[in-house]
Formats: sequence, structure tokens, C-alpha cells
Amino acid sequence: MGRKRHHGRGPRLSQKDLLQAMAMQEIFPKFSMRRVGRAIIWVGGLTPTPRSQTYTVQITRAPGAPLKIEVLEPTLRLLDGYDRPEHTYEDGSLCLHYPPDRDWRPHKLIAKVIVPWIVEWLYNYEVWVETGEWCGGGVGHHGPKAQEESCATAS
Amino acid sequence: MQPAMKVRNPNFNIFDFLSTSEGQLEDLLRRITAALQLTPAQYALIDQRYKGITNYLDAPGSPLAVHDPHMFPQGSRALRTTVKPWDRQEFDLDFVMKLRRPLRRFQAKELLMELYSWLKQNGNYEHMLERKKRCVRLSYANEFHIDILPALPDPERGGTCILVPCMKNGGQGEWSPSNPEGYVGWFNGRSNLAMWEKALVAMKAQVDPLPALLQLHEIPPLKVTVQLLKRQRDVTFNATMDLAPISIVLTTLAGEHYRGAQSVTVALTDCLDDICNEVHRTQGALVVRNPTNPDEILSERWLEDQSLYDVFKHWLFAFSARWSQVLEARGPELPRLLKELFGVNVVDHALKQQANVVHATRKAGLLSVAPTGILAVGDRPGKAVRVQEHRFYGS
Repeated sequence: MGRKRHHGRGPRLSQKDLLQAMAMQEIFPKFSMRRVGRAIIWVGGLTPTPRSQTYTVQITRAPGAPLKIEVLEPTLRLLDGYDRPEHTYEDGSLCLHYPPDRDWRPHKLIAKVIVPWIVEWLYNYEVWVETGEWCGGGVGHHGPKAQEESCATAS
Repeated sequence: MQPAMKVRNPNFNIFDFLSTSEGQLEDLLRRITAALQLTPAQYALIDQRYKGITNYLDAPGSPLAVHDPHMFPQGSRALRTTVKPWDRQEFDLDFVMKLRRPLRRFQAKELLMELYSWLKQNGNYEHMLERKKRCVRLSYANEFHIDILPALPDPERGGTCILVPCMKNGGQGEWSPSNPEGYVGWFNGRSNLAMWEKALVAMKAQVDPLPALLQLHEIPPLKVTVQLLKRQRDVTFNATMDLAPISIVLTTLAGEHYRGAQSVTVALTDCLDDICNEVHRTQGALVVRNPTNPDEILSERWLEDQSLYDVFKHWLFAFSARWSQVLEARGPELPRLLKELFGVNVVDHALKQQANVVHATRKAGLLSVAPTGILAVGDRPGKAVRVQEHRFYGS
């Protein structure tokens, strides 16, 4: 009986995992949660604007590994010459923050910090795939750019 | 009759343009038309050219000076509905040279020739000058054309009514009735219908987290609607502009059918719906007149050549059908349709501009996400979560 309260099989949720799960349930109730071993996986739909399509997103939190954020559906469109969208890792998962900035710390809530970043990423991805420019700011893999540029929009 | 298109909930908040589908389309349309406006530098250059010509008409030795010539803009320059040229299309500016106190009678052709000859004597204008049927054209290379229409006051109709040359039947030509100044007054009146003015006041009273947004929405929706109609026309008829419906006809039709909507989305939808209905109701070609001088038939070409009217109808119905798709479009479909209608560059420009605003909003701590996963601008009540400071990583 007690097991069900702890979201299915596997060991009990740690206090930290429980806090994360409760916050997700509270703020984004449409996300479903499941456990795979000691990892927790949330899956849910995000629609950055009412004119956007809905993206199914998966967030994986595993002990000792960085959070992994993937877009499961639809398959992300790419621009010519790209094998993955801007601001993604080689495996296609999203690069939402620049670790040296320490904007994300594991004690922060995924629901309050990560999910809003995913939505912001999806919005900027939609603009990127249409226009070829990333307008959401950021840092390149080869070190910080001289400044955070916004897009040049001279027509 | 075509069924009226549906635009749901037109009362959106311009500052929270992300969280409703109407608000987001409206924001994009406003940004598309912002990219179609002439730049202040272009306006300054036009004014400089125009002042040069005005001075020359009054210069010593000018045979026109004794008749008190007065030059003023007409058409899109006066209405502020000029759109940047599409592709390599030419960009026309229309001016009227009215003799305010003609000391003698003029035949139409005679006045046209008098203006032409005087400009021809000027070394600056000599090589860029061309005599057209009703006007004299100065072509500034890589800039624009200035068409100058000579005119006399219309003593019969009075007021701001004028007579302009009509060379259709050859010979010395005839004078035909016009009223460009009256038209500007009419159009500006239609643009500032009480309903829109009230909406503008309400908009200005809202708390604006990003002042540039108000500026974007201040241009009367009718003017923007006219620009969108003209732009779609330019995109469609790129290689066949001779067949295209002329700007003054589109402007008049839009002005007549505008109902005071506060949003461009609704204004364009209303105009397309109503113009389509009027076309369906009308037997033969529509007759579009200058509302301030009913003797001036603006749609003359349609009466002379029915096939041009058929081309207009075809274009209008196709635009209207595409537009109803835009109203419902989601995902990649929306930018695809907008690009098809208004051109790739301006739509890309609009998308990037909007994204820049979203980015600035986030940096100002004013971007949030609702439990539905939808972005919103401004302080949100309830369970919305603020998007926190961060930088995307990776390339």
C-alpha cells in the first residue's frame, strides 16, 4: 500500500525528489511522472504560445547526472547545414543554461526554473527554424560571446 | 455571399501579446507593417526633392510663378500608407501642382507641356524627365519616381476640388474632376473613427511594461490594413503590375468598409469580408468614386476593361481565402502563410523583432509561464511562474 504513495516501484523517493515531484504536480499538473531505477522521468506537453504546436518534452533526473531535457515530439526541424538545433548538446538534448553562471542548482525546483526555460527555448527554436537566427541570447560552446546580442532585424 | 470569417475575442491586451492567439497574430502583423514603412531617412529625402521642385516652380523666370503654383502630396505620401517596394518594383510618389490663381485659361495639354518645358530647362531635371498622359515624371535613379500632376481649381464644384488633365481622347486633352485634398481629409476621418480613438485612449491608459509596444500599435488600423492590401497586391502582381488593382481603389474600398476595429487583424478581416460581399452583390464592375468628388471615378480602368476587373476579383477572393487560413493557422503553418502573402523578409523581420522583445522582457524579469505552458508578458496572477535569469548554452 505504502509503495503507491511513493509513485510506483523502486525505492522511496528521497526528500529532495519528493519536493521536486510535488512542485511539478502543483505547477504543471499535466506532466506525468514515472521512475526508472533511481531516475525520475517527467513527460508532458508544452505549447509556448497559442499559435505554437504542442511539444512533448521529457525531463530526466538521475542521481549523479545532469538533468536531461529532450523534445520527444514532434521531430525538431533543422536548418540546412545543421545536424541539430542551436543550443543543444550532441545527443540533441537542450542546453538551457551555462553551468559557470550557476543559474541552475540542484536544490532549485525544476518546475519553477527548468520548465520555464524549456518553454522559452521552444519559443526561440520556432523563431530560429523560421529565420535562421537565435534571438534568445546565450553562450556558445566555444566560450562566452563578447556580448549577448539580440537579433539584427534590419530588413 | 461568402460567410463572414470569424475572429474570436478581439479584445486582447497588446502588451500581453503572447498569451492569446489573436494577440500574437496582431503583434506579428504590426511588426510586418512596421517593416513596410518608409524610413525617416527616406521621408527626409522625399521632402528634400519635393522642396527643390517647389522652389524651382516659383523661381525667377518660371512661366508658372504668376499663377501662384502650390505643390502638395497626394495619394499614399499624403495618407502615410506608402509601402516599401517589393522586389525591384518602382516606387511612385504623387504630387499635385495646383495653380491657385490662374491668370488665363489653359487647355489640359497646354498646362502639362508648360510644366514639362519649364522642368526641361533645368539641368538637374532635364535627364530624368518624362511626360506621361496626365502628369510629368521625374525618375530619381535608385530612389523613386515623383509624378507631378498639374491642376487648376474647379470653379464649378468649389472647395478643394480641382481639375486635372485627361489626355485620353488626344488633341488638346480635357479636364477631369478630382479632389485629392478632400480625399486625405476623408481618409483620415475614416482612419480615426470614434471607436478606434476610444480604444487608443484605453490602450494608452494600460500599464506598459515595454513602451515600444504602444508606439507599434498607435498607427490607425485602417492605414495598416491599406498597407497590407497593397503589399499583398505587390507580391502577387510582381511581374504584371499593369494588371494590378491600383492603390487609390484599394485604399478607398478599405476606407469605405472599415468599421472602427481596434486591431489590424479584425480591420483586415472586416474589409476583405465586406469587399468580397460587395463584389458578389454587384453586377458588372464595381464603381469606386472619390468620396469627396463623386464625379471622379477612381475605378475607371475597370469600366474600360472588364478583364482587369476579373483579375481584381480573382486576386481578392484568393487573398480572402488565404487570410481565413491565417486566422486559424498554428505551428509552422502560420509563418509559411504569412511569408507567402507578405514576403519572406518582412515576416522574418517581424518574428525576430518579436523574439527580441520576448528576450528583453525575460531579462527585465517580466516573462512568465502559465500552467498550460504558455508564455505571458507582465506580472501574472495565480500559478504562473516567472522565467528566471539564465543564458542558453551550446551552439
